[in-house]
Amino acid sequence: MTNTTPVVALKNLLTIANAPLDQFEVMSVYSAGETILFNNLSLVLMLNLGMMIVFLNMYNFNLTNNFDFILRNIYQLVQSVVRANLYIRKQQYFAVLFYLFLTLFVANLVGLLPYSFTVTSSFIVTLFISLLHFIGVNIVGASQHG
Amino acid sequence: MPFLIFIEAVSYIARVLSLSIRLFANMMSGHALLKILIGFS
Repeated sequence: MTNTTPVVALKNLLTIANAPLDQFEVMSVYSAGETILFNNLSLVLMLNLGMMIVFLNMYNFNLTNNFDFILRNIYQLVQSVVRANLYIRKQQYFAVLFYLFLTLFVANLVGLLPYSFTVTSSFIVTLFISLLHFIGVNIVGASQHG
Repeated sequence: MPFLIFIEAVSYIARVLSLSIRLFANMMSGHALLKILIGFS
């Protein structure tokens, strides 16, 4: 990845790619030295995190608008899956599963936008998510049953 | 018996890698297919 100014990087991001595999190209948006690298993958990951924070902070328990109904329906969907598949004592891990569902939901929803980037189509993201939950599940299992 | 433990451990760890590769490959092939079909129109 070469050093580019942010204007050139934005122009590169908005260019329509011709080849089918050009959409997975990770290009530098901002880089300062060797330690700070900011590419379009980190840009879209920050966008996803910001959308998740905005979604969860916009929720109002009084159900004032349609958005609250959508978020409550997502919550009840994950809750029904967790209640159908886990013991009652293991349902305390509902928050982890809800966070995982919301992460993948927002990532694929942002990927549907034109000129955007789907973070789950890059291997480092899927490997990170799977290793994170694998190590966590092993630690919890070893501490409770070991 | 130690051989069985080794085989079980390898298959338990390799499941994480193979499932993440599977998700990545499915997402990538789906996006490439959509791009090709858009290019036809």
